Amino acid sequence: MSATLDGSVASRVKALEFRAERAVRSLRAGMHRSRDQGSSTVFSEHRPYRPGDDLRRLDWRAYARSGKPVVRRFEQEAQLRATLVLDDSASMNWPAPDTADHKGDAAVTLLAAAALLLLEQGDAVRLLRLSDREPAPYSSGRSALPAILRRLSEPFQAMGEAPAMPLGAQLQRTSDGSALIVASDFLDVLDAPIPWRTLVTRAPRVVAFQVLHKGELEPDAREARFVACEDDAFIEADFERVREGYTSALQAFCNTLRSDAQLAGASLRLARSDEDPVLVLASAFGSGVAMRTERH
Amino acid sequence: MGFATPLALLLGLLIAGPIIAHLRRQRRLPVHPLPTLRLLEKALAEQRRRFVVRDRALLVLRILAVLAVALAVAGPFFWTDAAFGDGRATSLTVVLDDSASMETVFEDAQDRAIATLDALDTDSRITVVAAGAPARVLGSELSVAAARSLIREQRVSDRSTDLVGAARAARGSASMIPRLLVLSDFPAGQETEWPRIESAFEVLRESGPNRALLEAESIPDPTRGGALSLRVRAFGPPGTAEVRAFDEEGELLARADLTFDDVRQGTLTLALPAASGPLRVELEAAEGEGRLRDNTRWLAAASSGQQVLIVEGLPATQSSRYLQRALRLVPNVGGQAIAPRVVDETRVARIDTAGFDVVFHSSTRNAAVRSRALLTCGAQTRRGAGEGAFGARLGASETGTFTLSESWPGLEGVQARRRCRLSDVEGEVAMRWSDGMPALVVGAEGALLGTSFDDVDSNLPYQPGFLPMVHRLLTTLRAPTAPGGRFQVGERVTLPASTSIDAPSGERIVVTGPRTFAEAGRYEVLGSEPRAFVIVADSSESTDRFGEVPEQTRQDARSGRSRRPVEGWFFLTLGLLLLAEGVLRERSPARSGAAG
Repeated sequence: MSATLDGSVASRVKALEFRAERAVRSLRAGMHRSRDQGSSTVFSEHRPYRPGDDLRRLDWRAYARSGKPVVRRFEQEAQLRATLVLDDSASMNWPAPDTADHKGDAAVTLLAAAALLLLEQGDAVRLLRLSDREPAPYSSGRSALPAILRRLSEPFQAMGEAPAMPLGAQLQRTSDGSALIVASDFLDVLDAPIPWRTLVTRAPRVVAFQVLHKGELEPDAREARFVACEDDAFIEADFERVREGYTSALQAFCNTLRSDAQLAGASLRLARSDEDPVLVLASAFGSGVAMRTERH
Repeated sequence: MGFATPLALLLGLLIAGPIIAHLRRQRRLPVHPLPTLRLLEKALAEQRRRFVVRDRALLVLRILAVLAVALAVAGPFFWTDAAFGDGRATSLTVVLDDSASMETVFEDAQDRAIATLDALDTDSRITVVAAGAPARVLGSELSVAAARSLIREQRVSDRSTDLVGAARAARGSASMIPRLLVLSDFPAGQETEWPRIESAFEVLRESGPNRALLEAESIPDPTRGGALSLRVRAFGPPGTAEVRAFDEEGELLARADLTFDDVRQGTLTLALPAASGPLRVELEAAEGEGRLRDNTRWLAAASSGQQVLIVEGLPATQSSRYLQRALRLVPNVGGQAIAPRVVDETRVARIDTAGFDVVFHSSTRNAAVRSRALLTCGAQTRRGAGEGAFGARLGASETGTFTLSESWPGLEGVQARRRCRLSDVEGEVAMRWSDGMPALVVGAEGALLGTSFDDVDSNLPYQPGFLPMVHRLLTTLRAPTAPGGRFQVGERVTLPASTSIDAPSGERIVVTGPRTFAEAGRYEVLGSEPRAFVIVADSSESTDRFGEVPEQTRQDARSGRSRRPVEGWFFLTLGLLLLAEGVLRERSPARSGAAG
């Protein structure tokens, strides 16, 4: 796996910004909203003054305008903890390693860029590979990036090797309230659905990248023996005869996956393995970020 | 079903080919790992069951295709009841036996012939030969459709069988495959050499009981003075059957039971009254008998022998008594006995005079004069009687003393007190009066006597030459063929042009020339002069005596069976199987499974 970020990607990804969509509970200061309101500089709301309130929070200007004493409330800026989830199953190890637009490489690049972005923002990041029993511990600061990249560069599961646990179960098992950034083809959703609602309830933000290769979107094959990557199933078919049905099934699958995620509050973005990872991250992390990226 | 080349069935072992190919097929396909296999599987989910069926169907089709090849090469055929049912264009001669014995099976023969035609190629040319005697070529080189119509139009006749003539007439065309189909009951005595071409002989024989009159003959009964004995010989299963005899007006004359012996033969003699015209003899039919026409026979005349009729013009004086006596005394004429019969002139119209060889009109008015007759001059004889055929015409009666000057031997002393003048003489003048007037003129078909046979007018009956004269007149006037008025079916009967005839079937026939009659029975010739003749069927057509069916020149055509090759259908099936296989293979998108 490619474990490095080229300079272009790194420089461009630094211009992005990943923000939690909901308040973050954290003991460390950061750029994300905290669930605890306090003395941060981000104004939250007014409320009527009650005896015993800190007079320093009294908004004199508002009192002068309305004649009613009100107290200013502020959101506390917190450090975000994010879990980067890499689907390292055999289906992601496709096409053959070291071929162009390898799904695994694309996923690694996306997560590496996301890690860089988060670490640059001062957030804590940990990496979870699908084949891992336990996720790595959180780490923050730029110095944490090499270790994450090394973990990302570890080999994927080989052809025919089934994942130890479905992705949804792994996510649910390891969810600890941190933001989730997942790169997977989500193909095992056909067997085990992702508990999006549970994940979104626990995490301040859930962003998923459905990484697919163009060879999956538009297979270039006629009559062949199509074999599965994670078991010994096969189908002998003349693909031209079923192309339409396959395309429909794939589209339906992707749409369902995306709508399920969005209904739960997560965002899921289809990421072709030949797409620019920065643009993929930009569009997934938010339009404002994308604007910043363009300006940069 | 059979196979022309059974060893070719070993090709069926090649069904292992598609099975092995089917098993090895999956290894020939390139392997293409696809992470989204589940989606491909989902896309195929709706069709998968059908595809599995198709996959199996492909295997079955290929196996069937191999079997079809093996079967087609083996030359399969079915035994078919239709001869020559191979559909090839051929030159077929159909010999259809339309003789009397085919009566109950003739429609079957027609159906069989048409079934054979239907199995032929439409370019075939057909010759149809009827095997009823005499064998006739009904149509030559006909199209199948025309031959079909011709065969359907045929009716069974009362003819005897002429397979020998039919074999002579059967010829195949050299332009196409010559073939011969014979449909007959193959009666005994008709064994013949058929053309050495591909032949089929279909035997159609009646299976039910049959009774038939083989012979019916009336003969004078000398013990009963002019009465007849009717001798009947019949054919039928053991038992008894009644025989009845009728006159021509349907009046029952006699009946008796006839017993058939173990060899299915029976004879009977019936005593009939003396006065009898044409007779109809009937044999009681057996229960369930299908062939009824041979249970009836017509007898042309009342008796056999030289039939002589004396028409008595003066029954009160018995003017013909000397003639009657002379006829009993004259020796046989032409080897046949003389059977004279006397009838009053007033009743002659009720008698079929056609059955008599010679008619003597004794002192009659000559109101109904026919050929082969002798007219005499009597007191009431009508002036002007006689025609050209008689060689003269009777003139006025005159009395006096007349002596023969020219006469036959023994008649030189004849003297007459009354005579008729004979005018317009064209015939041979056999005797002449002393004054030169002809006394006896013999024409082409009749004679005129210028006096009577009675001793009232002359002493002719007393002359020693009287008996020889009667004999000579009989010899001269009798019909050239005997017995008269009786013909075999198929025999040519020559009648005067534009003669109307009532056939036994009731059909009225206008004869415009020589005609061949195929229906047995009594034919009434209409006109001023009552006449009739009888067509008699060959009795052998009723006896159910069967001969050998010819050996085949082609083994498979025996007993009307033939091979109908069906390899074409197998080739067609093969083509369809291959077509279906191609379509199925083209439309079969997938098969799935799990490796290992």
